[in-house]
Amino acid sequence: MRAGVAGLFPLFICSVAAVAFLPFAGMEMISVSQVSGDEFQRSIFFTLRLPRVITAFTAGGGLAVCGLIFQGVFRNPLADPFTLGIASGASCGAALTILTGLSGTLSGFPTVALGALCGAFLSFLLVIIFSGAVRGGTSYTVLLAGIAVSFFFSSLLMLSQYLSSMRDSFQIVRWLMGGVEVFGYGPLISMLPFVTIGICLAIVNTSALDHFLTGEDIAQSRGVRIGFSRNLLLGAASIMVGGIVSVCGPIGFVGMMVPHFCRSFFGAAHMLLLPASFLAGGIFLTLCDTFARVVIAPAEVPVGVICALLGGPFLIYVLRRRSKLF
Amino acid sequence: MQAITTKELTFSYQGKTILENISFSVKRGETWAVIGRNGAGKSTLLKCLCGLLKPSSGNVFIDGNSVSKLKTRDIAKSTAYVPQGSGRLAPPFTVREYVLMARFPYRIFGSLPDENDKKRVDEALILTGTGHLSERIMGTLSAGEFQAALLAGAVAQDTPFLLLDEPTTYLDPCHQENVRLVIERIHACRHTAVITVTHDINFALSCHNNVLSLIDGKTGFCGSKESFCDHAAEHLSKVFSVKFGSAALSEDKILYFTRGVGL
Repeated sequence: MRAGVAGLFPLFICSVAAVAFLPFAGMEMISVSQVSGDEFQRSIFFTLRLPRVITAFTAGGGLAVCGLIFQGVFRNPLADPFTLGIASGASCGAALTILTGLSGTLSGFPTVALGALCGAFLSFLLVIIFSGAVRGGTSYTVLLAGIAVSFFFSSLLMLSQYLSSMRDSFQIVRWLMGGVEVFGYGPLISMLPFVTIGICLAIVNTSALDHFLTGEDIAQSRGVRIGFSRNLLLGAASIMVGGIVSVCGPIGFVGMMVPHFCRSFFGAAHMLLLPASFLAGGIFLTLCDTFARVVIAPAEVPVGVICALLGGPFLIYVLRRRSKLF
Repeated sequence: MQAITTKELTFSYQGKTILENISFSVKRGETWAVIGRNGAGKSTLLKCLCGLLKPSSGNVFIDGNSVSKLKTRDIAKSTAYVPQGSGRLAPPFTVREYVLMARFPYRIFGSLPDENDKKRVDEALILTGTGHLSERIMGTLSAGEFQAALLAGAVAQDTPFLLLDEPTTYLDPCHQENVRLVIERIHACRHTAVITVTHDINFALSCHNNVLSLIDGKTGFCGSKESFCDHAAEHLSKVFSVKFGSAALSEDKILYFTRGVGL
């Protein structure tokens, strides 16, 4: 049985519930009366927990949609938002910012995030230039270019870690684990335009995305401009990944896992799969992040660790129970 | 008059000439069978006709407009293409979703399918006899059902020209017959021009009115079925370098076979 449009409804309810109730959870539960009464608790609620939950939701949803796009365009179930080397580009940018001692804030915006953003766009640019240089290139050309760029930046990242001091090195490692620890709404606001633009571009191209799964000959014979659509979709995903990674670091697994999970309930048509993935990704990362900050409170577990630890077994369970649709 | 015309069409790939100086014209309402040995350039010809491949020289015209100047979307409104079976992807969609996707050229970016799209899909499912498969996932279909679903997609695309690449290969006689019926129906109901690449000579001559034979990328025979059948054994032997025989089943039905199989 496949869930139709009606299947989006429970997902939507869960999303609203997650964003509404999870901010109350934490090292200490905050009650509704405290939010309205206690000045200190209110500021914790509104400047720490609420923005964090919303950031986690947006990032999770965005990463899931990116994974969906990459898996579709490359017809590869193993593709994730970081397939094109955007995460390693961003990580490299962040690492270099830390290494050169430039970490700080630039008119309220953390420079590490700025470095990550530059790295992300540089890597996407390189992928497009490399794959464009090959005549008659297909999706595989882009994929290979992405992997080449990814390895290049990974090596550069390793080198910079090797050359850095103990303190910088730890800071880099911590950044690489990803996390949604935000203070106030600044990071969310800096990430939101990227995610919004990316999602909008993806939504108007869902039927082109469907066609990538039928093979490029059939797609083109049905009027899809393959090269154009591919670059547009990959560009949309890359904008999102760049924006999200610059704030949250490379949070793995959400982008790869959530689309598979949704596919087993909603089928393969992206018109439904895209909103479903966004909502499910948002719920998943929000839950993981809540768990991460509660489980060994007052300390926190990096959310990327929780995602894979919880998500892995869960995905296998779902795929075993329901027919796999990729 | 709607027509696809090639003018001195030549296609080379990595220094090898696949098609050489092909000039022919398919008018709306005609049915053409394209025959030739493996590697003679039949599939390449089909891909050039619908703009998937760009000719190295010469030109392809759809209704007088050069294919290279037409938008992908506009080509898709005049020609539908069903590729060859081998190595084909089984997309993870249901048959209905897959057929509906063929309405792409008529839809504005990001819009939902409208009533007309759904009507065309239903018609296509009926015309190809795939109504009972509509909720099945493409990957779970047999080769025959899969081919019928692909045909349904092409029919739903609602184009004046339909290009089929070996539509009966790998199919059992029942599904082969279904393909023949689909071609006859769509030709009769919608006056669609069908261009079929095939190795099945009897299938080629049973539901096509014209024949184009390719020999090493050059035109061997190009003309009506009647004039082909006047010297069929001769033409066939020239194309395939194998001796052919024939047996008359009735006045207008003739069975062709290679001598090795022959009586």
